[in-house]
Amino acid sequence: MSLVEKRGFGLFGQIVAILFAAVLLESAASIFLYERASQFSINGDKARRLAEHLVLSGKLIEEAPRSERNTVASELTTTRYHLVWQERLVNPPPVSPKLNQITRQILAWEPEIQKRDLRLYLQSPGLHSTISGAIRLNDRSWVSFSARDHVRQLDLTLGRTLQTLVPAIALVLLASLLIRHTLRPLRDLQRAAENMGKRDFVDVPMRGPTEVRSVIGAFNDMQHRITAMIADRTQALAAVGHDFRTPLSRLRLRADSIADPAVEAAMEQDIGEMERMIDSLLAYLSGDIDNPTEPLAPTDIAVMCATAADEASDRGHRVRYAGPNHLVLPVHGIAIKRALLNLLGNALRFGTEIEVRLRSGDRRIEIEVADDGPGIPEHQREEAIQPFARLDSARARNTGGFGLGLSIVDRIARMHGGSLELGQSHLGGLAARLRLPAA
Amino acid sequence: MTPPNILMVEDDPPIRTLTARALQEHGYIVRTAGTAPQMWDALRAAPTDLLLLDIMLPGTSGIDLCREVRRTSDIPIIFLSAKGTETDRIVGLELGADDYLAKPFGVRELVARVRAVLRRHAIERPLADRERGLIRFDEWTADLPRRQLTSPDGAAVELTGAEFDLLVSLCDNAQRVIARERLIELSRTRLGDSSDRSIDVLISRLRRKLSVPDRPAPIVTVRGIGYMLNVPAERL
Repeated sequence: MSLVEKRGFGLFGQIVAILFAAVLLESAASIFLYERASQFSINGDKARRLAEHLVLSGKLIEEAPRSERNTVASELTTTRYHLVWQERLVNPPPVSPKLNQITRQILAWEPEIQKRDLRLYLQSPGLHSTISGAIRLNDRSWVSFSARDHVRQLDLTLGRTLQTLVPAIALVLLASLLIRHTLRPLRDLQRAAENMGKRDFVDVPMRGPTEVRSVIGAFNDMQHRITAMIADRTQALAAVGHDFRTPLSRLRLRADSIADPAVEAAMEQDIGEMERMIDSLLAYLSGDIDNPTEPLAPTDIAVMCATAADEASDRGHRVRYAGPNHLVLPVHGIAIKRALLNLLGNALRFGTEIEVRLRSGDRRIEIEVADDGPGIPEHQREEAIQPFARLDSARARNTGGFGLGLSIVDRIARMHGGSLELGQSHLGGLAARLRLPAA
Repeated sequence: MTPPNILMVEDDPPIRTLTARALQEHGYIVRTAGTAPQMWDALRAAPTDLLLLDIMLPGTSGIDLCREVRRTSDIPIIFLSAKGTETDRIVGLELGADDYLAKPFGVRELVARVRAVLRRHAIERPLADRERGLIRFDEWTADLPRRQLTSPDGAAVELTGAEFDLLVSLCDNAQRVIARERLIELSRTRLGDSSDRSIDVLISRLRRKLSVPDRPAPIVTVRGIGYMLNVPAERL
């Protein structure tokens, strides 16, 4: 299987694309902003006054000796314009759009200024915008100036701030959407990894950037391999279980010809135990518990419980049934009977007095198998339901099984949408409660 | 009376020998076959009263063999299987096998089943054409090969082996009083577990399990004599 079915942009490519888009947007916004500023104009009167002042000041400062130029500049400073003489040009602060339109207006009034390399900027030191700029003198020093009165027309600080912020916010939103989209396949992968082993595996759809695709491909392959491996092992184990039955059959037939009845009985007991272990192993491994072949069919659960109790008491055990005479529920009858017999078998192994109780409520019914055995301490009950559980307590002695009984019951309960709960019984031992949803 | 002639089809030689020996010790004539062709030869060679058939044979499945045998003969068949799942049992019985025995089985159990199947066959043979093995009474249905009881509203009702056999005895003598002694005698020859529950206990359990809310179970006590199924029972 090819890891990459469709060529997409790599994760790297996508991130570069996102950055590129961001930069592009940012530039577009700036260009727009600066272009607008350069189109600002002032009224003719103001422009002429500024032009005259600049020409005059330029000449006066130029004529003064260098040592006095600062003084001349401060003398020329009026209520309207602030003048400073500088050896070289001080660059304007970064966000200072050029005012091309106003420059043209001034040059129209005083063409002489052209040779002075006039520069005009829009500056916003505080809340308001002012016009500032510089002109060059013949000896390559500069007079920079700024208008004292703020340009109301150009009072765009807030607008400009917004204009810078809006694209930035849009950019962040756009980028996060794009990144989220890029990372979505990774989330699918994460979910699939979390669900692995919990349900049937599903191939994660192949999408997203190249790198993510190849990870998904590798993950899917891994899922296939693990599933196949588990299936192989399960099959091998089940085959071993089957194969044990033949030598066990021979053994049982041979045991019949043993003269000593005590030895024969002991041997029969061992064979019986091995047989039960194989049965539980095969039941656990067969898919029948999770995907039963037998259909749901109405079954009299009450009679089933009573009969299980009757059969055990016919074999000489103290088992009684308490509950209604009839309770019909659509279930997988063979599976429920297996669950019931597993619970009863457990109770018989650990207790001497057993009660099978059936209770029915509006929403669920409960089959309880209670014994007077040692019970299971609360902190070990969860563990006891796990497959191959061996509890390190009184229950563990002579367990005579693989510890699969309760886990099989649990799976049968869940297959029916019910549950298995272990608790304290009224007889002093364990109470195993199999709950099924009522029809 | 000549002892019954049993043919055992089983591919594992030690099991074949051990089983044959055990059955011979119980007075049966036993011939064995390890493969399907050997089985057909043996069936042609001499009359056979019972077939013990292993489900897993090399080359063919015992289930297919059973189907083929059934086409020409109603010889009683007991399946032997190492699979032992409930579904296998049901498939086997539906194909017309008379009983099903899961490996590993003991000699006692095998002999009991063989005896029961032969006896049932001897009794039923006069009824000739093979029935589906169903008994219907009072809207209840008892499926003999599956040993399953279905209630009037279609629910599966599970009985113990002893209870089921007792019910069948009552149905076989429907609307006739059966003496307690006769019922005890009938239940003695019953196969399987060695329950010595009194007939009265079994009857009271049957009554409870066969009760329907608006009507009692159709089993009446005839004081001092015995019991009776007081509705007609029909074999299908």
